[in-house]
Amino acid sequence: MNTMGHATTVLALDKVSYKYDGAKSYVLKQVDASFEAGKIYTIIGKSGSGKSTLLSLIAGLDTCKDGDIRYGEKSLNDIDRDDYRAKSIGVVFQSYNLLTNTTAVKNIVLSMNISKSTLADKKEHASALLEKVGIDQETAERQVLKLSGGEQQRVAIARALSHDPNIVIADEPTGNLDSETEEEILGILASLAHKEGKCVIIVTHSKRIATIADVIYGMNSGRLSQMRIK
Amino acid sequence: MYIIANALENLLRNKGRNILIMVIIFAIIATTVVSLIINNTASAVIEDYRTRFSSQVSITPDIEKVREEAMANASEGRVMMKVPTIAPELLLSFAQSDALQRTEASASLSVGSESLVAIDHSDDVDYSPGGGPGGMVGMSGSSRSGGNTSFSIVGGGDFNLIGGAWADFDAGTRALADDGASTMPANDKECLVSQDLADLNNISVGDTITVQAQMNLDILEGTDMTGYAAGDTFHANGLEYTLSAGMGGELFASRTADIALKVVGIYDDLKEAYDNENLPQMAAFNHRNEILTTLDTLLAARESNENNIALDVAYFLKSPELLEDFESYVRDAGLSDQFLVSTDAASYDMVVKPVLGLKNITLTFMVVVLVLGAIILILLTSIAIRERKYEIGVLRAMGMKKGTVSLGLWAELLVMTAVCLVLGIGIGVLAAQPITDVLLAQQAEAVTTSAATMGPGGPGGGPVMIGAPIGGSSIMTGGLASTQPLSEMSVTIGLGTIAEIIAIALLLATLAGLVATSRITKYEPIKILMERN
Ligand SMILES: Nc1ncnc2c1ncn2[C@@H]1O[C@H](COP(=O)(O)OP(=O)(O)OP(=O)(O)O)[C@@H](O)[C@H]1O
Ligand SMILES: [Mg+2]
Repeated sequence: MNTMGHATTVLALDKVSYKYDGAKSYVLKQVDASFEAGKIYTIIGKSGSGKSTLLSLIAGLDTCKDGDIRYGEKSLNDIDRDDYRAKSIGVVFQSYNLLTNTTAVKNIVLSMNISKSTLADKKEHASALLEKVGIDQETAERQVLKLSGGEQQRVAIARALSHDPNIVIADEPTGNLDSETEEEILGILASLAHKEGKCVIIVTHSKRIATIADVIYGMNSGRLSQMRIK
Repeated sequence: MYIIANALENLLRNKGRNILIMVIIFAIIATTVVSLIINNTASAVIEDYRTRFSSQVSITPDIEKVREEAMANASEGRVMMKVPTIAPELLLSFAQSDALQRTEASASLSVGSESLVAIDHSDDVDYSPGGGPGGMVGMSGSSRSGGNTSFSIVGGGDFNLIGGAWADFDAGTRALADDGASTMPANDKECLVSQDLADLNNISVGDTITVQAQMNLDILEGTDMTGYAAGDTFHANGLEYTLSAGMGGELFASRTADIALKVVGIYDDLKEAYDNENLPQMAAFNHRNEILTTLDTLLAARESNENNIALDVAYFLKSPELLEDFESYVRDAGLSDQFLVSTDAASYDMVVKPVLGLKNITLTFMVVVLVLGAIILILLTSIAIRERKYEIGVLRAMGMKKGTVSLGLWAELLVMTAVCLVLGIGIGVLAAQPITDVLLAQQAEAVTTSAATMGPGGPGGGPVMIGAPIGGSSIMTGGLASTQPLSEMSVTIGLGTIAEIIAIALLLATLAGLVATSRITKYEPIKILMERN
């Protein structure tokens, strides 16, 4: 199962079940999974099957009471999840969740500040990241509110990478992008995993993404199953 | 600190909302500034008046007791009310009481002079020789007699010899002439004369002047006067007195004393020559004819039982509560029960009542503004924070801690508060004086009206005697010079007031921040984000 011979598991899910407050049925049912550094994972599944819910648990935005999620050796329930979000994981939300009344650059600089980044020139780093995802200088200094959906999506991706996290999770990161830009983004994510050794988890409907994934999971009514290992 | 920078950016980003919040904070601070300034100034004024006036002791005749005494001593159906007197020695001995912070004593004696000409001297004024009734001694007891142009002042002269009264020099209304020679009297038998008097009589520093005082003797009760008649010589104190007859046929004894004084200085006088325009323009009332000497010099001119030196002693208690101690001291020292010992509490009340009213109004007003303002501010920030829920959710999702989010919000409120403090203190200070004037005038009017309807028994209606020589040797300690309610107060802002305002403002900002953030931190970021999506 371990193709590299010495891959480390960064994230492990152990019989995770989840139910929204006040809801009758479980959205996630006995989910087992493990994610390793240096690999790209995709999770595919029908709308409403629980993919975003799973990502929000992995992102440490919500706590799971049934089962356990471990980051390295430690359960997410036992660590400071603010710190975890600030430093260890980068999230590209399905709805971006950018600060809309400020510029793209400032969104990214703020994220770096929160993670206590020690980079001397945070603004330069932010501009470089934005350029990497195809946002030019002028667009980067515009209010996020005045960016197109695709541009916002790319700013969200740049932000997720800004603090150099070990895990990058992305919910439909190319949903609003043309195939050419999608290709560029996929290139970035692939090199993150394969060259920089990050663990990349992508929720997608895109067949193209599925083809570059090392591991594909299928989500079906809250049950996660491994569909293919490359 | 990126949080501060972020807070500043946020402030500029949401101008409309923040201006609304700042208007509220500004209104609260400005009204608080005005209220606090007025309140603190009023407190200071009240405290000042309390120590100044309710600590000044009045020793006044007890009319009831005097009447009782007169009734008891009535003979042949004639009731003679006699104003009680206190010997100067006794009055001065009261100064030894431990209850006193200080004593101010001065004395005056009406004198004439054969060698000096007084300013506004008139030959129509007749200083009749021989003693008169005690009550008529001195200038204040002047009486008209004869024609309209002729005055008769019994037992007095053109000049006033005044001892120990240097208040005008302290107040700056009198000062030594800048002639290089003038000095204040340091020894007995030294004096100052006014520039006008010096010019009129060619007096220079170093000259000796001589004045004549007519000293009147109290003929002690029980002295056998049979065989004596007006014009006879009477012996007392080892001196010769001349007897004269009063209106009722009773005999009075007096002698003329020469008092030689060395002029050590000349004073310039900023005071009006006459206290008011209604006074007859005559030498005895003219302040320029005052010859100033030491209290000891003046008292030394007096033999025992001589009664026409008017001694004015003002006693100031260390604190108003010591009145009882002082009273028991003076009773032990021999003050008769025909005198009341009191502080002028009624006048004090009357004077400070408007200020007290003002203080209460502003205090109530401030509390109302603070409570209402705090409620409005809390509501407003709650609404503002709810609007910013998404923003806060994003920050939390990015890993910002609850405390840091709250700190940022608090910093925003603090910056707004700081701006409002500067504006509020500035405008509040400017507004405080006109507001004080209007409110205090209203209060003063209310007090005057109510005092008027209270009649003579009301505040200010009590016996107030201001150093007037009544009867015998001397009298007395002054009451309040003025019992007008305070209708003016100049307000100032002190460091203490500024500190209070800053503390209140910080508290307000913190309270609003706490209430607002307590709601937001209850939410998990995922919930905030999902609500929006
Ligand atoms: N806050 C919530 N409270 C109750 N139920 C919720 C809540 N959020 C999502 N759900 C439900 O949980 C289920 C899973 O939702 P989720 O967002 O995880 O689906 P998804 O797989 O991401 O779908 P999509 O592909 O459309 O994004 C859905 O049935 C949804 O209605
Ligand atoms: Mg989803």
